[in-house]
Amino acid sequence: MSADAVITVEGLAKDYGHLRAVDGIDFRVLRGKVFSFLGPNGAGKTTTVEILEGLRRATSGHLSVLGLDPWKHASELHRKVGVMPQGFRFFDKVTPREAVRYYARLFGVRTDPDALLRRVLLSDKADDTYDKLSGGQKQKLGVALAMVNDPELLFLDEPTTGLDPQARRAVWELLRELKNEGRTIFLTTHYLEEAEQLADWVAILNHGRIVTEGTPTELIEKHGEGPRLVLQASPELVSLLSQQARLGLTIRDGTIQIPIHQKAVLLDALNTVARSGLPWPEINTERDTLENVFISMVGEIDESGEVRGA
Amino acid sequence: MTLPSSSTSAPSTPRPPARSGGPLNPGRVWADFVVYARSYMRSPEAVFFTLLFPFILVLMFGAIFSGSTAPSSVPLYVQNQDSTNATTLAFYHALSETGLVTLHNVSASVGNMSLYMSQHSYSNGLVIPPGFGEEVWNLTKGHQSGAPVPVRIYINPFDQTSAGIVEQAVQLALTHFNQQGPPVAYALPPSAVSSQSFQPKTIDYEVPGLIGFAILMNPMFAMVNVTAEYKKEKLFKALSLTPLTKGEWLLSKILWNWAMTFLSAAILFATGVAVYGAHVIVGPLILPFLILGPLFFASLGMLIGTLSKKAETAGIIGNLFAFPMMFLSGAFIPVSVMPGWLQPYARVWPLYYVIDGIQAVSVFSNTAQALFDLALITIMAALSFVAAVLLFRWREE
Ligand SMILES: Nc1ncnc2c1ncn2[C@@H]1O[C@H](COP(=O)(O)OP(=O)(O)OP(=O)(O)O)[C@@H](O)[C@H]1O
Ligand SMILES: [Mg+2]
Repeated sequence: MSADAVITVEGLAKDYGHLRAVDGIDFRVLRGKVFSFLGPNGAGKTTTVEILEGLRRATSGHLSVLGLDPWKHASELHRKVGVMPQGFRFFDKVTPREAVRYYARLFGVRTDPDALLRRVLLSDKADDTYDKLSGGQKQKLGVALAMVNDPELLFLDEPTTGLDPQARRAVWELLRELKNEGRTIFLTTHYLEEAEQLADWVAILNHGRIVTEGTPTELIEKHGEGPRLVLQASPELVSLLSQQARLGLTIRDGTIQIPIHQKAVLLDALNTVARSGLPWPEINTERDTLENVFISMVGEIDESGEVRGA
Repeated sequence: MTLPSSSTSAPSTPRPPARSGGPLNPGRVWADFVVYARSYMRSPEAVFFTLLFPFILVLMFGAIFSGSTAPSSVPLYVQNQDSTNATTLAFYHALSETGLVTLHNVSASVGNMSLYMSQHSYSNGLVIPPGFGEEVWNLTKGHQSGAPVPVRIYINPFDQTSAGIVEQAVQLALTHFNQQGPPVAYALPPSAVSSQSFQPKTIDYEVPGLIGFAILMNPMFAMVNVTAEYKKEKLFKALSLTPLTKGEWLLSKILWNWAMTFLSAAILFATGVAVYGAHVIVGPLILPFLILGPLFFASLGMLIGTLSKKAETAGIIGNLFAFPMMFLSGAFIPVSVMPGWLQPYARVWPLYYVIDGIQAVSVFSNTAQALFDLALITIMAALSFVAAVLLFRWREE
């Protein structure tokens, strides 16, 4: 994949009155990739996305989206991008089929509503009015409308928030397919699993700043603790293993954790335990996920993206 | 996920030049109109308020006013061509003392009273000819019981209540002012009652009044709701991500409001005529009222919706404005029937000029008055429309 940037952002900042919602961020989104913006509530995700979509004006910074200045060339940009806004809503008494047809007319394109609705798995609800659709079906319509103009770049702001796991997986499936067609996707989410599943590149945003970015694997390697041996802790085991300083053990949540950078360490630890004749505890190996990285950098967040105890 | 054919992987192919046609693309206006119309027609409340409600109103008010509870005091336009005569003055005073009529003086320079009244949309008139006082005096002297006096009364013979009150008042005044002299009963001359040029009934006023109501309510509240709700639900945001422009969106809403107003007006006219035999002159001058009225109130509704922070506030402001207006500007109760002290306050409300204008056309064929009202409405509509377009933000900064 060629490494040309579809979106380039340098020193982007946005103030709402005295509140600095986005505080000088830089990033690039490469063509054909899924770029995931990860962050808790109020981090500045939507603000950034809306600036990129030409819906809001940046306070400062340089940005280019498909080679355009989003605020100045908004209408030109809107023909080339597809957007699903956060908390997408539509007219209550309009059916998905009518909605797709409406958007097609607005964009001046010919679109087969049936084919498009089939893609987003909404064919069976094509003729129900919007207010009769479930939360997941509504989101699917949002994705469908974002695709009406066959965009090369899609902005999806929390497309799966509020969906049940099954519906979420269906949307993920669809996003993978869109990516396979070569479209670039800017995906905002606070579901770590979503980012881990889909993203080629993750930027973690907190308080308007990018705290870290990279591929999911890179982030885990960089900020995570790496693989470790985890044993159920008993006082005897703790005192036994503590004597071996080179194991570098830590005790966390009632478990003994030993980092295993080298095979020798692992074998040492296991041998020590076996020779002691102490009761054979439950033994696991663990490695960090994106979630651990996120928690260590931002804190723990709940289902709705709120930082716990904040 | 199974994909049936490659055609779905590229669901859209560009249509020939859709963009070219300048800032306003009729195709997009139409697309938006169709979607709005559909969703409107599918919400039963909206259909009720637009179509059924005016129908019910005209039936209701028609029933109230055709039962004709008489207004307490009928306005009477008097041209006194004999104002220097003491007997005439006594008669004039006695007339006012009856309490049945409120007298308004008409300048002696007015030549054609009938035409004058129709031009001003007045219903009841009285002309006291030169020599009236002297003649009455002579009649009194001669003790000519039952002799006719030469006044000319212009009233509406079809509006029996109003006509009766005016005749009664004149008769009473003649008897009353003579109480000091010898007992003489006067009669009005057979020609006193004129039916020239117009015969308005209350329902004739009521139909334009209710059309005014439709012109106010539908466009204004439709726009208050739409602007406030689209803002709340971020629908403007969604729409601004399509090629639809603010102007196209607005035009489509106004087109819809015109369609609804025309429909309501047609229903009101038809019901008034069919059920209560309303007499309606459907002059071409009604058209600009049906166009500019909704434009004005739709713009106003948009302003309210745009300027209010919350949807609820917008609704309250809309009601605060609409309620006094519909009662005070003659939508339900004709201004001429309202108490005299209240009547000047009717003219404060923009709706008054819409209703007065339609009445001028449909009741009196009074072009001059209609044009005057139209001029005012044009100015108001233009100002509010421009303000709405300027203040309405398609996207935030
Ligand atoms: N229109 C606005 N006016 C003033 N402040 C705003 C506005 N929009 C957002 N903010 C503030 O800016 C900050 C960033 O908000 P933003 O919506 O970008 O966060 P987010 O990361 O999308 O959060 P969420 O996960 O809840 O969607 C928040 O503190 C928010 O309160
Ligand atoms: Mg957001």
